[in-house]
Amino acid sequence: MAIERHPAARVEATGELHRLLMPGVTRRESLLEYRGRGGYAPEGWAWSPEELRDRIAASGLRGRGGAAFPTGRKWHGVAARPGPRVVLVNAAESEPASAKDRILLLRRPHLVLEGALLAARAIDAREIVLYLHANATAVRDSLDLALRELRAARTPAPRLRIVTAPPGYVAGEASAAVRRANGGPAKPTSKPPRPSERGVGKRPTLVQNVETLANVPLIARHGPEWLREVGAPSLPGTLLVTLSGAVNRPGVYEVPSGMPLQRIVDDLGGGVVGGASVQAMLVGGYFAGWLGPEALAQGARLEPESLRAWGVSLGAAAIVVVPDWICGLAQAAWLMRFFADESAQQCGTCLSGTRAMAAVFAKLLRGTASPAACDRLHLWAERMLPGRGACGHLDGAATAARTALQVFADEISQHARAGGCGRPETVILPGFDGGDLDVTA
Amino acid sequence: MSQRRVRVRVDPTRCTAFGFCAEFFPESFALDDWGYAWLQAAELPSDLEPLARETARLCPTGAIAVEIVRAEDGPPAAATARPARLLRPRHR
Repeated sequence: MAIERHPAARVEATGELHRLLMPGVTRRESLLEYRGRGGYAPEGWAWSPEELRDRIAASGLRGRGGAAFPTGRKWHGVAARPGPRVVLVNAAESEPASAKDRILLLRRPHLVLEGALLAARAIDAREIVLYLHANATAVRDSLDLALRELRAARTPAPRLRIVTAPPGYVAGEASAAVRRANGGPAKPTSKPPRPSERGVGKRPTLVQNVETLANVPLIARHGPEWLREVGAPSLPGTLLVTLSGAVNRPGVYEVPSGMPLQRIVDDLGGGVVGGASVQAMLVGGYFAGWLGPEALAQGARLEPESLRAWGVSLGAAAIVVVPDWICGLAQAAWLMRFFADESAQQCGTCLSGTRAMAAVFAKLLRGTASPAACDRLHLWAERMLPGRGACGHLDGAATAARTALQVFADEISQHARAGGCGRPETVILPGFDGGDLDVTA
Repeated sequence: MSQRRVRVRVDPTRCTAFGFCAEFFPESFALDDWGYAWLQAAELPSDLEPLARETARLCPTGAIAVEIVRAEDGPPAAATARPARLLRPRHR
């Protein structure tokens, strides 16, 4: 049974919901086309900076980059600090299971750029930094063309510059983006100071995800209530979901927040490949944790509160479906290996902790982990490692381990008894090339 | 007057696992399985501030910071306010 490994293979807006993605927009939307759809409408620009911040706050918009932080509060926070200030558009979509920011930038770059310009107005920023991965050449081309169009149209804008980072999971973290924009390596820094306090050029910096910014022009135009017309009250609006793994129709979908996960798998994904059952899934991306099939059956929904009850987070709404006909524990073990490989190696605890957890998971897969090692793994994942790193990488690794120990508990026992489960250990997580699972702890 | 609140931070990028902190101030610092400082409580009762400052001074890599929490920073996080491990009573 074949599994599509490219989550962006299909892009659809669901039902009548065309807010960020539009069914008619399948190639890069030009500035002219964007204006024809309401872009840069005067009513969006009629507000003072403070009114803009208030509008965003009243809409209940929360960040779509993974932390779901209230956007209005963030804007007020940065604006309260002495200027000049900077807006950093975080387009470095490092999460391997996520493709939504890329799709937005390829198809609707002007929606994102107008959002960045409005954000710059709202916090009185003198500079906008567009931050993306160096290997994202198509995204770069789309942005370059869009910026050329803006200049040709003499759109008033602060200084705009593009900063690129080498590939890497932690390169997308806010402080890593700031450090890179300041000429350093794309690695996170210790907090404090936060980017909002001391960011690009030592200035207060608003770091905002692409999808978050795409919502901004629409809220400015249509009002705060417009965002709340769809989605869960705890996280108003739509979410761009990247659905991959063993579903019949992988893709990027725009859905109201709060949609039941079962519906996402069945209605959007067209069910599991081969009519199989869901063994487990990642819902928020690699850092947000594993979810078992009982969560789907009991109505877990795509919004922060519902997912928190299951011990996972919404993250970037990057969903990977693991079917029951492959080894789930192998997916979990490889994910731990990913965290070990992707550590920035700046914090000793992260370097040692991610490697140690990956090593025990490799043993769990072969059924050779000692009971003492299992006890230690629980201690590391649940108590010793959370909250210890300079960035969220170690927390992500601990969450992945903690939830895998719960979700794959039966499989771990089976592997301990029989040395395996007899199912293929094919890795279906996006971005894995295979190789040797062993790591040196 | 509310009580002075003291917060301790470990910069994980600076900690190189000397372990002096856990030796000198075991009520607040443990070591993890790899020898790195594992803070047991982010906030301390104010009577422990001198001990916290001395520990910070002893750290060879300067990884420990002690700061006074301002009232506008909000209430302490429940999980870190006063862990069971911190045995000293607040008022003696």
